[in-house]
Parts: sequence; structure tokens; C-alpha cells
Amino acid sequence: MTATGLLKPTSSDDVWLVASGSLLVVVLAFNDQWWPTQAIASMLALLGLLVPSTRNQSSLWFSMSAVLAAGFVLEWWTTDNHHLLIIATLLLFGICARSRDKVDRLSSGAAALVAVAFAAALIAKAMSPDFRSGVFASYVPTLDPRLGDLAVRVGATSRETLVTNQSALDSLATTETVGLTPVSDWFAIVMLVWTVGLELLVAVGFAVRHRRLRQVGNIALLTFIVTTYSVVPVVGFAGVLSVLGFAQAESRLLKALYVAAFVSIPLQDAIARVL
Amino acid sequence: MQRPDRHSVRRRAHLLPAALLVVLAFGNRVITNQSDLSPWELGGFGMFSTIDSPQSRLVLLEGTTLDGERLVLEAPAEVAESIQQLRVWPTLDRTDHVRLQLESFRWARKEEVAVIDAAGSPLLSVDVVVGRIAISDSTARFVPLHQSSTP
Repeated sequence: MTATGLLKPTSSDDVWLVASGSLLVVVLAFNDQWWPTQAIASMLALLGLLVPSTRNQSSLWFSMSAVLAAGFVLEWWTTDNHHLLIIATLLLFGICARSRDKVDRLSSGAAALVAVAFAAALIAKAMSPDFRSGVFASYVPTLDPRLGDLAVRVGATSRETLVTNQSALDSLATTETVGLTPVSDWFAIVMLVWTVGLELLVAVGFAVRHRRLRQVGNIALLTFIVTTYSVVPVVGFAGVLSVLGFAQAESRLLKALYVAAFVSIPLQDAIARVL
Repeated sequence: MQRPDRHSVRRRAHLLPAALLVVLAFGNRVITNQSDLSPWELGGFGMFSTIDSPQSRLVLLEGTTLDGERLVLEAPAEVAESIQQLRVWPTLDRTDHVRLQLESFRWARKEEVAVIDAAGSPLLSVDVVVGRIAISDSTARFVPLHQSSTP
């Protein structure tokens, strides 16, 4: 394919086929909900993958959404925001499935979902005293081993410091206060600026109907998916964001990049598990 | 004011999932502010905004044996789900529930802690405390949220 070919729009049928198929893969392979509702949703997703004509039936998407919503409520203590985003995305596909202009509506609805999700994340950070004071960025590597590994690899702290901090926190059961060592200031600042900057660009880029801003938003979303989920491999979240990004992307190049992002995160996670 | 016709509502139906997400995210913020629900959980978008994740919350389990000895209780698998609920959204009822579950077992001393053992003895009393970690000026402290003790 030539460079100009990559910038051309893809046919509506192809977009629907790839977007709907990818979302079904997310439900089948990347979702990690309560097993009874997950099993039912997986069977429905398999039906959609094996019989592509069923993807044009709203009932397929609505029933998957309802089943996963039931799991969300019944086992609330294991549910995360990506489970909610997957349920909302299934609803969107159900609403669009029977429309004549389904791909246009899917594109608009997907952009709105991404904008809301990132705006909600930004508001939560703005309202959090831990985040505003820098406590979160300075100490989250101690509390989250995935970010701890990253901080050690880039030289922002040492493995010994993280272990000492963790032992100190464990002793809080018997001690009133304990001293902790934060990560280097530069790491905390980079993490704050990187996270807030990307989330802001995505939220604005997807909320506003402006071609240039949307392009910036797309680049920010792709960067967010690749950088965030390489460190914190939540494949369900990376998968649904890639599907939503693909659904609203106009050029073939952007669509190809979202497909690459969709494949790369679970692949990287699988390789990391094997190694 | 002109009422929206059915066609215009249908034309905008694809924005309903985003509207639903707004309502749920807002509802989650309200619940988080008014209760001890962790901002990380239950569909909120507060992940990676605070250190107050369920994993960082502490659940302290202690019991007094019939001999009057105070021991830390090792949480058995039977109460793992209740303890996870307690970490995510602690309430007094859930703290009481964990305590009652622990009181229903028989316990035996194993090194420095007590573990459940059918051949062991019931405990005289059980204390359950759930709390979060607060950090300021490089100092961490335990902030109790709920406590339940055998009356």
C-alpha cells in the first residue's frame, strides 16, 4: 500500500467488521470478569466471531452488555473501570448495529466515550489531595510493583529502598508512624506531567470536533495506550481503548496504528509472562 | 420550547453510552466522597490518582485465646472474599461480618500467629480493624476506618 493509500478512508463495511470483531475478541480473551457471567458473554462473543451476520443484530450486543453488567453488580468488589468501559462500548455497538449510517454513529459515539473516560480520570486526579501534593507519584512505586520495577529500571530508586519502604508500611499494624523514602523528584514530576498531559490532550482532542485537535488526540491516545499498558498491562483496557480509537480514526494509517496497539499490548504481556 | 422529536432523539442515541458513563462516573465520585469506597474501584476513574487502593489498605485481625494470649490471626481462605470486600468498600457491617466469620472457627497457635484448625479452640474475642495509609512529609501512618470487636 502506498503512503497516500494509508491516508485514505476505509470502507464502512470493513470498519464495522474489524471494529466489531476486535471488540468481540476483547470480551472473549481480554475481559476478566466474574466467571459465570464471563462464560456467558464469551459464548455470545464466540457466536459473533463465528457468524459475522449476528454482529448486525443489536440483541447480540445488548445481551452481552446486560450479562457483563450483571456480573459487574453481583461481584462489585472485583470490578474496575475498564469493565464499565467495555459494557458501555457494547451498548454503543448495539445502538449502532442496525443503523444505515452505523460507522458514522459508531465513530461519534466512540469519540464521546473516550473523551468522557479521560475527562473523568483527569477530574479524579484534580480532586485527589494525594495527587496534587505529589504523594501519589513519590510513593506509588512502593505500593505498586509494576511501577516499582519501572522506577528501579530508570534509576529513580533502588530495589532495597522499595523493600525497606514496604517493610515499614507492613509494620504500621504495630507502629504508629514510619519513615519512608520517596522516589527521585524527577521521576515523580515526569510521571505527573506525562500522565496529566496525555490525558488532557486525549480528553480535549476527542471532545472537540476539530480536525487538528482530533489528530493530536489520536496521537496522545496511541502514546497513552503503548506507554501506560507496557508498564501496567491491563489488556482489557488497552483493547477497548484501541477498538474505540480505531472506530473513530479517519485515515488508514491511524486505523493501522490502532490495530498494531490492539495486538502489541497482549502480545507483550504474553511474552513477559513466558519469560 | 420545542420538544425534540423521536427522530432527533434516535439520531443522538449513539451518545447514550457516553452519557451513561458520565452519570456512573459522577455517581462513583459522590459515593467515594461520602463513604470509604476506594477511588480505584467500582467503575470509578480514580485509579492512579491516590495511594488509597484496596491493595494498600490494611486489615488487622487479632484474637485472644482462652488462655488470655493475644495473637495475630492468619486470614483463612474462607474469609478472603469478605476481606477483599472490606478493602474495597469498608463499612461497619462488613467489618462485623468478617469478625463473626472469624469467631466461628477454631484456632491453634502456629509459631507467632494463630491459624484455623478443627482440633483447636474457639477464641475468647476477635478484633478486626480496617484502615488506610496516609503519607505526608515522608512519614506514613495508619488511619483506622472501621473496627469491630467481640462484645
